[in-house]
Amino acid sequence: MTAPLTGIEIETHWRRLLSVVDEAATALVQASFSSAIRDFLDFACAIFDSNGKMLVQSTQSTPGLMGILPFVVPNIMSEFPQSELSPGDVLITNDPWLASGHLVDISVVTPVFFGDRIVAYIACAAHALNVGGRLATIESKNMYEEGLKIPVCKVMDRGQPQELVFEFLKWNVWEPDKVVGDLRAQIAANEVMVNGLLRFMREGKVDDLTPLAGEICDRSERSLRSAIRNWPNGRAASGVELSLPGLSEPVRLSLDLEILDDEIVLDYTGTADQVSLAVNVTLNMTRSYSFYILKCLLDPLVPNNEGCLRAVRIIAPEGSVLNAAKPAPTWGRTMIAHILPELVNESLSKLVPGHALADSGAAPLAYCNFVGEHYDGTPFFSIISFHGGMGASASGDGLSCISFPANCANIPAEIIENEAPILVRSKTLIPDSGGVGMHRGGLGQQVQIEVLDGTLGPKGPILAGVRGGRFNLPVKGLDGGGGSITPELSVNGVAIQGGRQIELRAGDVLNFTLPGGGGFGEATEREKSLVRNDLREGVVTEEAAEEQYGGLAG
Amino acid sequence: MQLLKDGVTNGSTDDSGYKPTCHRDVTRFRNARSARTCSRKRVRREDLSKYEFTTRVGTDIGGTFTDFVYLNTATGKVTLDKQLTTPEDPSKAVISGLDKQEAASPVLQSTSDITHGTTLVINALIERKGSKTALLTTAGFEDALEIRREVRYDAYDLNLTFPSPLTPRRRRLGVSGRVHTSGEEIEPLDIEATKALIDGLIEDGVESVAVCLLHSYANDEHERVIEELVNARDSSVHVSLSSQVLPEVREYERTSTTVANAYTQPLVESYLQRLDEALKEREFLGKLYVMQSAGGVLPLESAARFPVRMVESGPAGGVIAAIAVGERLGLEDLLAFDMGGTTAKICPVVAGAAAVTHNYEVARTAHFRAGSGIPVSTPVMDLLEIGTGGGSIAHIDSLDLLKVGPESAGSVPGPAAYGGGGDRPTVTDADVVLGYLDPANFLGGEMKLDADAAVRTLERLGRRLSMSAIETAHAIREAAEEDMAAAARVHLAGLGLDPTSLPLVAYGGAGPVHAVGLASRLGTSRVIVPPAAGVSSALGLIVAPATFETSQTYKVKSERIDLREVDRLYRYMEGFAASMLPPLADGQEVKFARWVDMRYVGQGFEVSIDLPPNGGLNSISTSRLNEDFRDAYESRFGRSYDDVTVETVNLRVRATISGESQQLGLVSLTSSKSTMRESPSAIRKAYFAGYDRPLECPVYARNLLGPESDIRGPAIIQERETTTVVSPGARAGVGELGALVIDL
Repeated sequence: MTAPLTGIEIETHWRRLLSVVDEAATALVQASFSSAIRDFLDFACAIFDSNGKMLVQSTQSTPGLMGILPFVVPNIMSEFPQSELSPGDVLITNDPWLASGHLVDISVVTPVFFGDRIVAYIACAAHALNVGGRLATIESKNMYEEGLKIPVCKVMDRGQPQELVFEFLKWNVWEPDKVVGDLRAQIAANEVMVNGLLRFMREGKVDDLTPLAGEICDRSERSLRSAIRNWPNGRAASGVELSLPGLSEPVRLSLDLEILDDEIVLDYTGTADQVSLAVNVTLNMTRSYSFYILKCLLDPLVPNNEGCLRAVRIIAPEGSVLNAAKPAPTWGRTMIAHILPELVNESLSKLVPGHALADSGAAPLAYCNFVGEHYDGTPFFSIISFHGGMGASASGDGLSCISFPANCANIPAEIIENEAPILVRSKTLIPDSGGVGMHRGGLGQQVQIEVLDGTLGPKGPILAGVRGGRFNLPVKGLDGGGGSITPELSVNGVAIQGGRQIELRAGDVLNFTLPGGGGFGEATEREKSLVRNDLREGVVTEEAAEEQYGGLAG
Repeated sequence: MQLLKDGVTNGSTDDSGYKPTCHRDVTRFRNARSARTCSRKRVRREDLSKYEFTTRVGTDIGGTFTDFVYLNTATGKVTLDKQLTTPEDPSKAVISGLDKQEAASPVLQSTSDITHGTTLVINALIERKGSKTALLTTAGFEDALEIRREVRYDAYDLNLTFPSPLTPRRRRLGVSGRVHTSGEEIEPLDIEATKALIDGLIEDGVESVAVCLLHSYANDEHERVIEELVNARDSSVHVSLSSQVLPEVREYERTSTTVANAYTQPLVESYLQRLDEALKEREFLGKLYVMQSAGGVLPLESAARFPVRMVESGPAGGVIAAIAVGERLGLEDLLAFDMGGTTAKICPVVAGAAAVTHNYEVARTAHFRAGSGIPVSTPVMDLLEIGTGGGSIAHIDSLDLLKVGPESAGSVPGPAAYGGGGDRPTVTDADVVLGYLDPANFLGGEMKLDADAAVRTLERLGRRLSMSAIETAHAIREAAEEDMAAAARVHLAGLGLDPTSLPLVAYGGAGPVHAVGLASRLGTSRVIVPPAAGVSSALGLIVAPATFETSQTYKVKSERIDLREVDRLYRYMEGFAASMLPPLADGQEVKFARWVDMRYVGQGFEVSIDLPPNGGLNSISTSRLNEDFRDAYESRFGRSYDDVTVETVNLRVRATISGESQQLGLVSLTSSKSTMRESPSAIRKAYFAGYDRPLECPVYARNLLGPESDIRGPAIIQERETTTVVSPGARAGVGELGALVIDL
C-alpha cells in the first residue's frame, strides 16, 4: 500500500505527463507527411492508465477528438484483451464507432509494459490525407463507398512492422507515401510517449498510474461540477432544420438542455433519422462538439481528461443522425457536428444570459480537395480550407476569419500555388459581413481561385471536391444582434451546390463568399467610437453605419 | 530550426599580450550630418592609424538598468557599471554612463568599438511607438495581416484576441501584377496605378512603406520597381522590401515581418544617428555596433536598415556570454538558463552555437502562447520564454492545486518580502522563507527584505490546503521548477535534444537560486554560474563577432536541383550579406557558411545540411546531398525513408568577420585572485526537499572563493546580484574565469 499522493506530487506529476504528450504532439507534426496533421492540426495524443482512464491529452488537439479520445482505449481494450498483448505491439483502427467517427481518422494505440505488466495505454488519433473511396464528397450512400476500413489489428507485433497491414493501406489510397508516412509518424509519436512515460515512472518511483489518474479525473470532475453549480437550474429547447445538398427533406436537429444542480443533460431526442448521405454523426462525435462548447464556457483552464466529461450526460436516439448506426456514411460529419455548439448556445442563452456566443460563419468548416496532374504529368493532391467570421458574445466582438468550432490553420496562398496549378486571385475581408450589434460579429471572407492556363496550368481537368462551408444555414445574431450576409459558392459566376465533385478547367474561377459571425446585442448600443473606427477601416460601410448602427452622432 | 555556429572564437591563451589595432571608417548615414557636429574638431581618418585602441565597451539597455562592461584589452581588466534606464530616450543613459566612466578615467578615445544591446525595437512594437507605415501588396491580399493563419492559439478560450496589425486597413493597398511561384511573370506591374497609390500615401504623411508581393522570393523585380517609384517621389520616405527583409515563402509571415521592419525603421535610424553623433562629439573614433537577435553584431548602417533583426538584442547577449564562458570551461553543449523577475528563458547551445529559430513572435496577447503575437521571422536565438520568475505569484486553482505564475508581482508592488505593499506570495517569498535569500543582504544589502511579511503571505495561502508556511514554500519552489523543467523538456524534444546531456549555465537574479533544482529535474549533472551573472547580456556584447545571415527560398525536388543555379544564388546572397558587415581591419576576412534546409516532400519539418563554401559545390552531387539529408534525418528522428523524395526549401548563408581582432580578450572576471581555502562567512538555517528539519547551511561570499575552493552542499554562495543554492549532495568549485562549477 503506497501513501496517498500529496498536492505537490499531483501537480508536478500532472505537469510532467502533459509535457510528455506535448513532446509527442511536436514529434508528430515534425514527422508528418501531409498538411492534414501539420496545417489542419487534426490530431490528439493521450495517455491512459491500465484501466483505460484518460489522464492527459496534448494541449494541441482538435476539439473534434475531445469527447472521443477518452473512449478509444476502453473500446479497443474490449476488442483486444490484455492477455493478447505483448511488449512492442501497436494496434490501429479507423472504425468510426470504436474510434473517431469517420474512416479517415486513424487511431494508433500502444500498450505500455513496465516489467511484464501493462501499466498504461498510449493513443494518437489523426486525420489521414485520405483512405481511398470517393474523394471529398458527401455523395456516398453507405460506409462501403468511403474507402478502406481497418479493423482493430496489430500494425506492429512485438516490435515488427506488419507489412501486410501497410500493403493493404498503400493499395487503397491516393498518395500512399504521405498516408503511410503519417501513420509512421503516429507510431513514432507513440514511441515518444512510451519513452517519456517510462522515464517519468522510473524517476518518480511511480509503478502504478491509477492513483494519479483517480486524483486528476476526480479533481477535474469536481471543478466542472462546481462551475455548473454557478448556473441556475433550468431547461430549454433549441433546434434547427438543415437543408443539405442531395436531400429532399431538411434534417431536423433538436436539443433539450437541462441544467440540474451540478450536472448538464443534453437530450437530442426528436432529431432526424440517419440519412443516405455522408453527413451522419456517431455518438462519440456528437459528444465531442456538444461537450467542447460547454468546457469553453464553464472550465476552459483545466486540461482535458476523462473526469472532465462526467458531469455532462448526452442522450441521442440510436439510428438518428446524431447517433448513426453502421453502415451509415460519415465522411462529412462536420457538416452537422459543427452546428451542435450553436444548439447548445441557443438553449443556454435562454437559461444563462450573457454566456453564449452568436453563430459563426466558420461552422461548418469549408474544405476542398484539388486533385489532378501538372502540365508535365506530375500528380498533385491539395487540401485547402478557409474560414468565415466568429460570432460576437457579451464579452466582445467576434474574430474575423477564424476556424471555429474546429481549429484548423489555413494553407498559405504561396504554398497552395506551389502545390497545385492554380492561382489564389484574392482572399479578402467582406465589409458588412460581420453581424451588427453592440458587439460586432467577425468578418467573413471572399476567396477566388483561378485555374492556370498553358504550361503553368494542369494537364486535363482538376477534380475538385468542396465540403462544408456555411452555405445552407443563415448566421443568426444573439440578444438583438444581426445576422451575416448570404453566402455564395460559384464557378464562373454560376452558383453551384457544395458537397459534390466538380471538374475545373483552365481559366475557371471558383468563388467562395463565406459569411461572418452573428452580432451580439442591439446595434444602436454599440459605442460610437467603435463604429467610427470600423467605418474608417472599411469593415463597415457608411450605409450600414447610418442605417444599422444609427449613425455616428452621440 | 537549425543550429547556428556563432563563431565565438577561442579566447587567446595569452590574454595579457593582446593589443588589437583597428582602422575605423567614418559612419555615414543617408541623411546629412548636423552642422553642429561637423563644426567640431574631428580627427581626420588618415590619422587614425596613430591611435592605439585598448578598450572595448558593451552596453545593454534593460527594463530597469542600463549595464556597462569595459574591457581593457591590454590588461584584460574588466570594469562593470550600471545606470538607471531612461525610457523617454534610451540613448541618454548610455551617454551619461559613458560620461561617468570618462570622468573617472578617460576611455572613449582609446575605444575601438562600442557594442550596443537595445530593447528599442521590441518596445516600439509592443508599445506601438513606430512610424506611420503603409503596406503595398499584391491586389487581393491587402487583408493578409488581419486574416492571419485562421487558427485559434487556445482551443478553449472563446475570448481570445490578437494584436491588431501595425498598419491599419486603410493604409494597406493592393497593386496589380502577378508573379508565379516559379518566378515567371504572369501579369505586369501596373506602374501608373502604383504611382497614384504612392502619391496618395505620401500626401497622407506616410513615413515608411513596406512592400510585400506574392512570390517575391522567387522574383523581386516588381518590388524593386516599387522601391524606385517611392524614392523618385520622395526620397525621405523609408522603404522595406520583403525580398530583402525575408525572402521566404509564406505570405502572412513575410508580410508581417516586412511591416514590422518598416514600422520601426525611421525610429531606429534616428536613434542610432543621435547616439552616433553624441559619441562623435565625445571624440569617440571607433565603431558602433548593434547586437542582433541571432547573436552576431551589425554595424549601425545595416542595423538601421533591418531593425527587426534586433528584436531580441539583449537576451542574445546573455546567451553569447554563456557560450563564451562555456567555451573556456571546455563545454560545447549547454543550456543557457536566465531567470529574472517576471520570466525565465532557456536557450540550448550545441557545438558552441546557440539554437536559432525563424519562427519568432512579438507582442503576444496571451503570455507565452505561440500564435498570439506578430510574427517576426528573422533569425532569433531560440529562447524559450516561460512565465516563471522571482515575482511570479502562487495561487490555488479550481482543482485545489497550487500553481505558480504566469501573473507576476513585477517590481511594483513586488513580492511581499520587498515591503512595497505586495501581499500575494511569490517565488521570491518562498526563497526567503526557505532561507535561500538573506533578508539583510539582498542586492549587497542595498535592499532589506521583510521575511515576516513573506512568512505571513505564505501562511495565508497554505491554510487553504492545510500546509505550513514552509510546506507552502516547498510547494511553490517545486511547482516553479517543474513548470520550467516541463517547458524545457518539450522545447528540447522539439529540437531533438536530450536535456540530460546539457549542463545548465545559470544567470539572471533568480537563475542561480533555482539552477540546481532545475538541473536535477532535467537529469543533468552540472551547473555553471558565470562570473558577473547580473550583467551577462552586456558581457556577451563584447565577445560577439560581426555576422549577417540571409536566406532565399529555393523549393526544388532533389533530382531537379541545378547546382550551378544554386551556386549563383549563393554568390548573390554572399555579396549582399558581406555588404552588411563593417569594413575589414588588418588581419580580418569575411568567412561564409552555406547551408540548405531540406525535407521529405510532404513534410513541413526541415533539416539543415551544411554545404561546402564557394567553389566547393562542384565537388558534390545531388545524390550526395540526398545521402547527407538522410543521415541527418536519421540522427534526428531515429529513422529515414529511402522511398520518399527529398526537396530543398531555403538556401541560407552567413557572413562572419573572422580574424585577429575578434579574439576574446577576457581574463579573470573575479575581483579577487584569492587562492585561499574558503571559510563560510555565516551559517544560516535553510530548508531542502526531503529533509523534515532545517539544515545548518554555510554561507560563502562569492568573491572570496578561489580555484582551490571545494564546497559540499548544503551551502549558499552569495554575491551582489544573485545567490547560488547548492543543495545537499551537490559539490561546488571555481573554474576558469571565476565561474562556479556545481556537480550534482
